[in-house]
Amino acid sequence: MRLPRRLLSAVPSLIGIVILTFVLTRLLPGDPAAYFAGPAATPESIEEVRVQLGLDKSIFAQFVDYISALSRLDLGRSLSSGQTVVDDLTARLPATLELTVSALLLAAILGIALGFGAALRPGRWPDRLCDAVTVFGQAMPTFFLGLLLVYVFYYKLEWAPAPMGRLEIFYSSPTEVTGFWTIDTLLEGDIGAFQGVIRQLILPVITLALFGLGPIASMTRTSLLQVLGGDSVRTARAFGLSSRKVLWTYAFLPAAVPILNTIGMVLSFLLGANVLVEKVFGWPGVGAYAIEALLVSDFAPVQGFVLLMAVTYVVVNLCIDLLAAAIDPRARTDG
Amino acid sequence: MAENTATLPAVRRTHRMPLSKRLPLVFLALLVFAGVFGPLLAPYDPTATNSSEALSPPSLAHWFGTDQLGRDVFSRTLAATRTDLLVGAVAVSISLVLGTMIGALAGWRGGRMDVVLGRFVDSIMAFPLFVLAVGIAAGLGNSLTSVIVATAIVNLPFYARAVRFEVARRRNAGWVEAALLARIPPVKIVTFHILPNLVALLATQSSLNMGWAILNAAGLSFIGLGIRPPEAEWGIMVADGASYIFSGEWWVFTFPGLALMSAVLIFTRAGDALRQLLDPRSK
Repeated sequence: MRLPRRLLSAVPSLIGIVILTFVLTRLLPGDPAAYFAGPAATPESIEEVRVQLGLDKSIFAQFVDYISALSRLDLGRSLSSGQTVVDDLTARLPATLELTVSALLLAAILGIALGFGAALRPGRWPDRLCDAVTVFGQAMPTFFLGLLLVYVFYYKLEWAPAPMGRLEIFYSSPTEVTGFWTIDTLLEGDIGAFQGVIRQLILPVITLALFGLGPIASMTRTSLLQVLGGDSVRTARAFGLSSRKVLWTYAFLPAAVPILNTIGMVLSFLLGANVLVEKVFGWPGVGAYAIEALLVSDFAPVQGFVLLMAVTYVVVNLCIDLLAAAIDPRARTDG
Repeated sequence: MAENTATLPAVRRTHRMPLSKRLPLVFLALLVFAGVFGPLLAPYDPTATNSSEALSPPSLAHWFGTDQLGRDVFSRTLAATRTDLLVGAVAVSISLVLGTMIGALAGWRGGRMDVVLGRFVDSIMAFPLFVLAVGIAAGLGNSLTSVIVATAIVNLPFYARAVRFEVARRRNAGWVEAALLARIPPVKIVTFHILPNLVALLATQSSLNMGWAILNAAGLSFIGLGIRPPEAEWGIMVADGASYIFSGEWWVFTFPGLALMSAVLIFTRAGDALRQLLDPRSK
């Protein structure tokens, strides 16, 4: 009963996303038919392209076409790669997800640890560190941080491999099973390639994680401080429960829901910042693909990318809602 | 008299505000100064090339070194301040005005208008914002205007939501009812009697937003959207300098990157300082 209602709550967002992405395809100033027909087009050929693209129909009919294409998972064809956009995106999505998920995990672990430290020693050095990381993480442009790390760890110290993709050329890339190369190389038992994959991942993951760390750390701190100062913790302490029990059961679990929601929000930042980080590290993901297409005015891939990222974000947030409801009974009532 | 007692505590708080809290505001003034007078203060012409001095490291003549065309990185970084601040300021002004109008309309009218506008704003927030900005900039065509519009749209929800909440909260207040009975048109009530209460909130939000807007616009130009290369802009300068990392010319990307970071830092910190200065309830 509860689950379907949660699922339904995502529907308005999805409808909004579909409408907005449709509007984006119709924003291009001037006549799109003339644009796609090319500079040497005659009025007749422009008209032909217009009919071909369905641009001669009313805007409503165009919207219906768009919806029916979407329901057939047809996002059009990329002019530069010649493939369908869906095929291109499917091929590149795992690279993006492996990077983003690793960064989100790292940011969550470090952020919660930092926030914990800060909440337990307010005003002391862990708190200051938490504050400094939050402030700098917010202000640091991800692409600049990525380049700095490349300069220091690749060029100067030579600790990191060249920032060019998921694996150096002298390793053979694994056969895709999950699409996550860390897992695929292990499945093949190729330890050397696994280490190679990890080495490529380290710098971009750190870049993204530092960007996402701040909000998680400060939410953990705030949320935990609030619970620690509350009646339940005071009562638990008065009953003489061990401080470990108090901290984990009576403080951390109630504080977990706002932290989870913040992690969902950080995912949105990371999916955006990913575009920049993929460019810096030559990462063959969907963001880099969209930018390449964008710069040669190939719009179908860009729209497919925007839609895919928005849907990913909505789906993950839905999962987070469900997880929050599982952890905290208080989060179950409002839906 | 009532006015005096209302402003007095605020004044006293300014004096009690520790230097560390006021510092961001001082830096903010310096940053704006650099934005206004930067191109005049630059020791070299920011676009003048000089191939004999290409890629020379920082020295007394060129504090930040020179780039691949021998242009002075210090002059370019300084001159870029104006471009970046202007893009940020125009974008934030658009989101402030549009967001306030949407929020005021939704909060005042309520009902179906509120639902429709609310859904629109929620739909914007359903996207990862930088991804949406890329999509908008792509949809509008590759130009500076589309970068500004994209940045404005993704920041609009923050204003719309805040203003909607504050207007809806006052919508049914006794004094609003009195004003309506006195036949004061709703537009006037909202503009002259409700919105002035939100100035502190919106000023704080705008300063925070300037930081994000600049970051967003610089990110878009880093990936090749908007501002075109000969123009000095931090995002493009970092992108240009990126190619020279592999031959060790670190200064080309580092200085504009640091300038960008400092500007964002100053705006977000100044936003926090403003909040403490203007809002008696926070601390």
